[in-house]
Amino acid sequence: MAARAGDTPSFERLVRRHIDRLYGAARLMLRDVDLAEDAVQSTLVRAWRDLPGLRDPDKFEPWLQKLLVRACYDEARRKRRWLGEVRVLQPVADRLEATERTLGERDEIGRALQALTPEHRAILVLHFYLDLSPTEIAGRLNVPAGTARSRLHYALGALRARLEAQERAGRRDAGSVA
Amino acid sequence: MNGPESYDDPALAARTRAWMQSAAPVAAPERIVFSIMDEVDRLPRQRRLGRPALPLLGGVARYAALTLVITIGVTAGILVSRNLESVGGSPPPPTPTPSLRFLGPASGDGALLTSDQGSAWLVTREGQLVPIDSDGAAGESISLTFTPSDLISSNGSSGAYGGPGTVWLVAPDTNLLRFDSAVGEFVAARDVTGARVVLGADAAWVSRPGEVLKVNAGFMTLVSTLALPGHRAEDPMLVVGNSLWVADASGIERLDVSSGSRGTRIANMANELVAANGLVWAAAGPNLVGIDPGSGLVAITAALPTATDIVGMATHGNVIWLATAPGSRGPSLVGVDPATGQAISVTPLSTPAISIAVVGNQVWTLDAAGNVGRYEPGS
Repeated sequence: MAARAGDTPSFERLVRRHIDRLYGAARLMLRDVDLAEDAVQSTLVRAWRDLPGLRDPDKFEPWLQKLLVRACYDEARRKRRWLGEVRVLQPVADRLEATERTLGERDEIGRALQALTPEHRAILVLHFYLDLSPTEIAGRLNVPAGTARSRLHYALGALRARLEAQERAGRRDAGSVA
Repeated sequence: MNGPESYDDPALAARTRAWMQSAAPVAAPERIVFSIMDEVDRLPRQRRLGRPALPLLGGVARYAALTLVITIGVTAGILVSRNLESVGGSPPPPTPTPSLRFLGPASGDGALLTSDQGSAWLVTREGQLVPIDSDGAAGESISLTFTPSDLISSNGSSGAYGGPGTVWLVAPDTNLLRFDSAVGEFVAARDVTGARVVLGADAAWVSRPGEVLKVNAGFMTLVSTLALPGHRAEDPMLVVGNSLWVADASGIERLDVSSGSRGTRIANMANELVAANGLVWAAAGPNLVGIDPGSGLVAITAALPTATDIVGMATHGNVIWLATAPGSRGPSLVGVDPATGQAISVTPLSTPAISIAVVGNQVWTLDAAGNVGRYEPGS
């Protein structure tokens, strides 16, 4: 692998091959464009720095995913420190109007996901977006396979609970008087 | 993937997978690649160690260096904390009492205070939103660009209120905000301003002059407006089950949260409302009134031994804590048994509290000068 020897054009080719999936995963984990870009950038810069230490070139992609999860955790933690000013998001309803969608299932999942912990979001993204098995996730998170399976179970449970709470709130409002 | 995974809820799993595959962007912005390659060009590569023994030595060296750094850090921390204690900038503790023990200050710059399970949130007079743990240690603060008039936390409630670590802020000139500390994000409810906010029945209820706004706590959208002639924005509110309790200058009223229909008006005035031991408790001058939420009738009326007006009220269920105005005996914290309405402890305060909060097993006070004090039951 020429990139390991310091060949930057080779490394750029690697970056271009993997960046889209990494960016997609970071966006889903962090739910924030700027933080996702920072996480992907720090992941790939770190990959360049530490690439000579990677013994098995075939494990480049799993290694990148491991670095990405760490970077996303770091960004999620740093996010609070970065809030020097209140950054007010558009109300949910506005965001839906902007994308010409109604309050459908698509956004229910997105909003429910946003309410989960970064750890729960990460495991759901690794499994459902990057299509990794619990055994593969275990390798990315440095935990036993049983732990990864259990975390996936609890993350799905938390997502379900959040969706049910949103549904309850929606039903109550539908029956309210104006 | 290595094979089919079994799920408790296969439909949810399929739905989540479909959402993720469609919601994720298909391509990263080109500018990230440029930024990465710019940095790569500047960054030196990590050196590889050729001989097998050296990595081990390198690891030992790193371990030794890390140990040294930690030792220096801990020692410096101890020295700094000793110096800070000797400066003595915090307010002196009030006279010890047999009922509540003063643990120490938590802030000298508080404007609004609310509890969040075993911790608290404070809005400072400098416009910072600060989480504070039960030891009085402040977490990372967030600058606010407006002055909130009220804040309340989800207090550990999950579901529509956002779960632990979620705090709500309201102001007369800024939209209602929900801050989720887990993801570090504010969400605003459009066209919802007011003076006070309470949570209950999967909604946030915002008090305005002559009306109360019901806001869907999950979607952050205005659901309905309940017209309440005579209601002042700063009047207290409380949600218990399916009832919204509101007080105004002439009494206390109970409204059905779904229909908005009104129950019988209770003639007692109230400047604070809490729920404990199956009753709604109203602070009415120097008296405490317990109302049966089912019948809407007054079940208990108790006069405080301090005979001074109640200015703050909070509870964790087992004890109702009251802050009283100075009067002839000075300000105090009074503990009341919610089964009987009788005072079980009276603790003098050095300065009058303007609000109180129950944080775990502690009672926190906020005074007009911004000092936050922490008290713990016990001698």
